[in-house]
This record gives sequence, C-alpha cells and structure tokens, in this order.
Amino acid sequence: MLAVENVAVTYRDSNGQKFDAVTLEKAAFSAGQFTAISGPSGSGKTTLLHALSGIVPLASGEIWWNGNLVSCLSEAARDQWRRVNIGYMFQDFQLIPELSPLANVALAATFGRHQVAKNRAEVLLEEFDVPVNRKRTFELSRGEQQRVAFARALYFNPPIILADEPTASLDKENGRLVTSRLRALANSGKIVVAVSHDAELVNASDCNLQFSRGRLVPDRAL
Amino acid sequence: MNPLPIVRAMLRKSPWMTLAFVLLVAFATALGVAMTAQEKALKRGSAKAADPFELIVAAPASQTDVLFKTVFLRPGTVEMLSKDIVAQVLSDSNVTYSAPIGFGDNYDGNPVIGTTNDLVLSVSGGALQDGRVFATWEEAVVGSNSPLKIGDQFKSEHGHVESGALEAETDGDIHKHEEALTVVGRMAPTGSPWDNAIVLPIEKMWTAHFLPSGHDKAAGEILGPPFDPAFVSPVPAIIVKAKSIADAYSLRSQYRTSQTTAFFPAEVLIELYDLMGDIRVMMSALATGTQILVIAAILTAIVILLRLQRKQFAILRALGAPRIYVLAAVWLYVAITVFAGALLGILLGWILSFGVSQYVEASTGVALHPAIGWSEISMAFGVVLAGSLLAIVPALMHYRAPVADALRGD
Repeated sequence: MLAVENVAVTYRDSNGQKFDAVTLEKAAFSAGQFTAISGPSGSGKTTLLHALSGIVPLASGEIWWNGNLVSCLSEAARDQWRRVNIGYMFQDFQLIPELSPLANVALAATFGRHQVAKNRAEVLLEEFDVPVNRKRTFELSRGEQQRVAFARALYFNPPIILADEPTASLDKENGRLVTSRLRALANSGKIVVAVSHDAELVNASDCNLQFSRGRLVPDRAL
Repeated sequence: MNPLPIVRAMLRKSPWMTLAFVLLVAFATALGVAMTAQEKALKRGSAKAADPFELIVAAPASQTDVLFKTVFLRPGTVEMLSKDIVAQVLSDSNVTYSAPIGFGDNYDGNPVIGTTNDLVLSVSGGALQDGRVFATWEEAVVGSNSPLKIGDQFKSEHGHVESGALEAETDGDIHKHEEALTVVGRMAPTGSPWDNAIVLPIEKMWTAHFLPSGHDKAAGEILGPPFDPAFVSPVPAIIVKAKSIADAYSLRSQYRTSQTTAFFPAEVLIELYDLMGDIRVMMSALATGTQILVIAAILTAIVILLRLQRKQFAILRALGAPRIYVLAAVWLYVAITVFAGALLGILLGWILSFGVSQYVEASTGVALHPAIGWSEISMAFGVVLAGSLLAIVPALMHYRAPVADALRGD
C-alpha cells in the first residue's frame, strides 16, 4: 500500500513567495486499485504524482510504502526506489526518438546495476505488439509509441504505475486502449494512479480524487 | 551506470550542430598544432640547410642578410670583401678550405653561384649524386632539383630574375654572358635552395664580370685553390672550414674587424630562433586565446542547446536516473565533442603545416618536413583537458536542475 499523510508540497511563485502547490491530509492507494485524479489545470494533480514518486521533496508530511517511510529517504535512495517500484507514464509518451524502441524500454537498466532478464525488453515489446527491430522510435506510429511507453513503464515490473494525462494526446480509440490497459494492470494487482481529464478514464477507475487549488475536494471523492 | 545510450541520442539529436562544434574545436586546435609543427620544421630545415657552412667571412653588414644571401641564396645586393681581405682569407693556413662565393647571376630564374669544388662537395654531403666536379672554367655542377641535365649547355644571365627588381639590382646592367657552360655533375639533395642552384668555378664568375681570375694569366685556366693573392677579386663572402673548433673560433675573432665580419651561421640562426620563439610565444598566446574563446563559445551554445533538452533529462530523472547519471551524460557529450575536435585538429594541423611547408619550400627552396610530436599532441591534450574541465559547467547545471520545474516545462 502507498499511503500519504499530511503531505504538503511548496513552490515559489515568480515573486519568490512560497505557496502550497498541494496539501493532502490522508490518502491510501492499495494494490489492485485504479485511482483517477482529476481537476482543473493548476490544481496540483501532477505535483501530487511527483510527490508520490519522490521527484519533489515534501515541505511536510510522510509517504509510506508497504510500511516503509520513503519520504525521508535520501534523494539517491528515492531515485533507486522510484526506478524499481514506479512505472511512470507521461503525456506524449516522452520517449527518446533517437533511440530504438528496445533501447527506450531498457533505458532504466542503464541507470544502475539491476538484475533483469536480458531479453526482458524484447519480451515486453512482443507482448505489446511493437516491432523489435526498428532502429529509431520516431519511425513508429503514435499507437506503437504509446505501447513502447507502456512497455518502458513495466520494465522492472513495478508494483505502482503513475500516469500523467496518459490519454490526452491520443484519439478516442487509442485513449480507450490505454484506459483498458491501465484497468488491466490494476486488475493484475498493481496500484494505478492516473491524472486525467478524460471522463472515460475517470469512469473506468475505482476512485476519483478531485483536486482544486492544491486540495482534495472532499465531497467529490469516491 | 551507463549513460552512453543517452550520449548517443544527444549526438543523434543535433548531428549538424555537433559537427559544427567538432569542426570549431578542430580548427582552433589545428591553428596551434600547425604553428608549433611549422616552427619545428623551420628550425630543422634551416639548420640542415646551414650545416655545410661552418664559418662565413663577409664585408661588415647584417649577419642575417649575409646568411640569407649566401646560405639561402635570397636575392639582393651585398657589400663586397676587398681583394686584399679575400687574398688574406684564401691564404690562411688555419683552414681546411676557404671557398670564395660569388652570386648575382641566374639561369632561367635559378641562382648561378661561383665557388670552388671544396664547397660543392661539402654542400653535397661529401660526394656528388651524379657526374663529377668541374675540372675547367667552362664546366658547372647543378643542384639536385635543377632542370639542367649532365651534358646540357647553358648561358647564365646577370642578375636575380626572381627578385622582381632586376633593374635596380643590376643598375640596369642586364646581360647574358656569352660563353656557354657544360653541366658535368649533379649534387646530392640538400633540402636547401642550393638544390636549385647552378655552381660554376669562381674563376669563371670573376672573368665573366671582367675581373682577375684568381690566377696569373700565365698559369692558364687553372682552378683554385690555391689562388694567387695578386690576382684575386672581390667577393661577397668566403665560406671557411677550419681545421678545428678552436681554429674556427680563432678565425671568427680574427675576422671580426672594421673591414670584415665573421660568424657561424648557427649563431645567427639561434638568434633568429629566439626571435621566432618570441613570435611563437605571441602566436601561441593568440592561438590559446582563440581556443579558449572557441571552447567558451561552444559551451555557451551547448548550454543553450541542452537547455532545450532539459525536459528529456527530467524525464530520465522521473524514470529513476540518479543526478550523477545526467551529469555524466552531459559531461561525456561535451568531452566527446571536444575530444573528436582535438583529434581532428591534430590531423588538420598537420595538413595545414604540410601545405605551408610546401609553399615555403616552393618559394625559398628550404625543404621543411613538419611532423606531429609530443608538443603538438600535448597542445591537443590541453584543449581536451580545458574542454573537459569546462564541460563540468553545463553538466552541473543539469545536475542541479529541479526535476519538477523541467517536467512542468517551466
């Protein structure tokens, strides 16, 4: 379980004044649960994802993972924890177009020493029906790129999947495919948290945390 | 940790920009490398050219001028030694040989020199490449690059054609000598302007200019040495080979008078090298300044280029890449660019130096052989070192960049 207690993330505005980008008193994300986070732009949804993954330090509060306090880990330890435990998916996929799909999927293996099967990336690409022998990722269709992004997120078979607007740049058909894949991942026992404006994705989720001005809107939480 | 896939991606992302960086570093490095290689080649070439000329005795004048005219056969006028001094030097008993040297004529633009067989053999390294030394006044020996072949006949002409100031140099006295000479020998290559020269007996040079031949007419057309002190004529210089080093120094002192100057070509060359060294220091400072400016400009461009890629680095961090991974990727990208540029710079520097050497050889006759040695490699290494150190700047900028800001695209 990924649990959040009294979390606050503080940024500085253009005048150097501090402001709370996110404050969240309590939240818990369980294995097999698909959570959607929605809300207007600038409401702190993406910042919450960054906080959950340890990308941004907390101004206060704690984040627990299976009983271990991860928010107090050093940055290097958080990087290591994130690498192995979190599969991150970005809007527009954020693949490296100059690298092959295979190199994109296995990229995280170059960040440190990891015990991963040598053909793990190939297996994932075949599973997602992406041609393994393509030299550059920019040669792929958007649908294929989206599947490469999925494969990359699953490289270390992480228990947590964080997705930031995963359907925003896709057409309806591909958007539905992504939603169903996220749903399937949750069904397979992973924690899935997706920031989205997409009503179909929100409807497919188990729970929707609605954010406004950096805070959870209590009456809209399911 | 292996950031090479990311470095590869960075190189592929902007190949033309990267190529431009590499070429800029290469040109800046080549400038320094070419200068150092050229200076060494000039020193080696000029020293080798001056080697056969142990001690030069000439009329009081700039030693550099005399050196350039006698050893490097540069055109121009020079004061003449009086016939009394010539007679004194030629009859000095402390010498292995003393060879009077006369110039000012040409054949088809190639300098025609009057001297003795002793100097011909000395310049040619002890033996001719082909044929024999001259045995009569109507014979000549040519340098290794001369278009004339053994058996060819030619008539020399007064003045240096290539000087472009023939009229001034000869006071309007432009004429072809009437008597034809026959080529009987070819000197071995010397790597000096003497390779293009045509050498004839000094006796012939004197008589062609209506001067006493160095011998009593009654003795006939004999070749010196010895010369008859009563019949010698003025010459611009005498090349002296002393019997010993001590004698050489003694002769040098002896002929440093109000009427003569005497010097070892090596000492003049050393002075020139000192001057060259000063110029080199100045040029090196300019080249180093250029290199620093180029590297700084490249780093600025790289900082701007990489700033456009900062979201990509943030994505890597979000995927779990440690800060040090991003630092290593950026540093390696810059270091590889600078290293490739420096490597290419060594090659370009050698090509540039080779081109300049060819030009210098064509215009002066001094053979230059530029080579890449430790000093040039050290210079390129210095560029790599400076580039690698400065590469830490953009690397640290991305190392310290806040991930969330970059992900948000701020």
